[in-house]
Amino acid sequence: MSNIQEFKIGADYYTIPADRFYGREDHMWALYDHATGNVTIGMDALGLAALGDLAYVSLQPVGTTVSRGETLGTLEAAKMTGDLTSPISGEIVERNDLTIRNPALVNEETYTNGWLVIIKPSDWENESKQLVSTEELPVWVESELTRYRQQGWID
Amino acid sequence: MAKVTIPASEQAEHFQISPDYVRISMAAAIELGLKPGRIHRATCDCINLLQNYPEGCYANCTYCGLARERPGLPEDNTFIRVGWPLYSTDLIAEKIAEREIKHEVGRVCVSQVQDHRANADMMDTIRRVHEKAPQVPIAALVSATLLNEEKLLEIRDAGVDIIGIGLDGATEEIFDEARGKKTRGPHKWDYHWTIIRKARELFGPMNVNCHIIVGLGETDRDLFNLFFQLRDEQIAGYLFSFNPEPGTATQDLPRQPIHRHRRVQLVKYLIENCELSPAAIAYDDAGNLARLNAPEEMVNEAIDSGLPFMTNGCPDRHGVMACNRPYGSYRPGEEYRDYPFRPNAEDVAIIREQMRLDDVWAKTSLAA
Repeated sequence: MSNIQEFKIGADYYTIPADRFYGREDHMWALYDHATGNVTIGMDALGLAALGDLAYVSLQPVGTTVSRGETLGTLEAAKMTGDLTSPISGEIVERNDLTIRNPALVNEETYTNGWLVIIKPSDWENESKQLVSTEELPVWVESELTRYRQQGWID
Repeated sequence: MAKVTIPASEQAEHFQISPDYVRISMAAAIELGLKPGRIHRATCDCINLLQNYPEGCYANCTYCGLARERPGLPEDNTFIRVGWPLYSTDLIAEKIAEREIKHEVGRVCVSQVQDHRANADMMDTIRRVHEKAPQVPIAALVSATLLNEEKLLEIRDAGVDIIGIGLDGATEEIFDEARGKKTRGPHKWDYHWTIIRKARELFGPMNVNCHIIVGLGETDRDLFNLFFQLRDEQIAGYLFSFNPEPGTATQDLPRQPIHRHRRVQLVKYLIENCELSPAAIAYDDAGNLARLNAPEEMVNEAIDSGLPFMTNGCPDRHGVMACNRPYGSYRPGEEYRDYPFRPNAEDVAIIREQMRLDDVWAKTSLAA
């Protein structure tokens, strides 16, 4: 399969890379670093498309322990707010303060410099199985596009 | 504001300026599909367009993101705290026409800034929108300082049915401090009223509205007197809640407490819809609401309806409020100042708590 899923909303194209895992409903991405065993967390393009251009980002401080599904912080777009939920459990070991100072980074460099936190996972092996994997990606993207359109969150 | 050295006659070659380009509210851009995103609990039924010139606005209102003396480049600055993206006017007109086919557009509002080109360019923008989407009602939010009777008639003849005028300050003193001579701005209180009344005469009852910002230093008495006057003259009053714009002269001015805004909203509604008389309101020494003598049934019915706390805005072609300016006076993560939709029972419970009305309300009976 392609290492990237591309989809279109209105006139704009968005991508979802296949090198990482995704939260099934919250559209948080999780990229495992084999060297450190840590996981970088961000929000994917579909989640961001439904929120719009970000105006504010708040993130939990380094050292916070989160369980899967708990809040990592909040995102605020011009006309919408959204909670950032953690796709995995563990301890926040780094947070990207650049996104707090410049939230547009999350929209503009979604999968690179727009990451939000790095987590030292407590149960990656089991929890990663509950996330969307590379193999599931094409079907999941299609079904999520349908769900988002039905909800009226995207065109 | 950055100094623009290119003469106005050559600016169109260098900048994306009106009338060929307009700024559009973020909510309207989302609604037209020009920006990604959605609007929490609301839709945006009025497409607000704002003129764009490299100098921003030649007026110097202390609270405004477009003010002449606000630092920074006008194109980088925010207006009501969010960016207003810039698009070609023809693209916007096409998008309005497209949306009108799919789902009726409630209204379009063309807003002027203070600039010598603003009148001619507003007429051009209105014409472009009207040609592409002739059924869509158009309002003009004008700078009174630029207008006279002849220009008001031109606007009316172009198909505009509602005129909005930013009075903003509730009294002459507040107006002068925030917009007039004390700011080295061009606006004059008396001339604003001349244009408001001339527009009222030409456009008809309730087809002219005054924008009033709550929280610029006025008292409740100032506001309520203005509401009585507007009601008597059949001019609509549209409330805004002061929210400091970073980088402006009033960036450090605190917002008014929520209980005051809620009480102002309620009293305005009672004046406009329930024949509340001036004698029903008592003020403290500072001129603020000390006692509201109003029937329990009337007040509870008004509060429970949620209507007093909704955004004041121009209606669509069916008379339903279209211009709801979602999250215009507050951030989406904050408490609503004005609701861009009708508050439900849960919202009303929050409103009651915020308003602390029992502190000032002397309940009377309807017969009293």
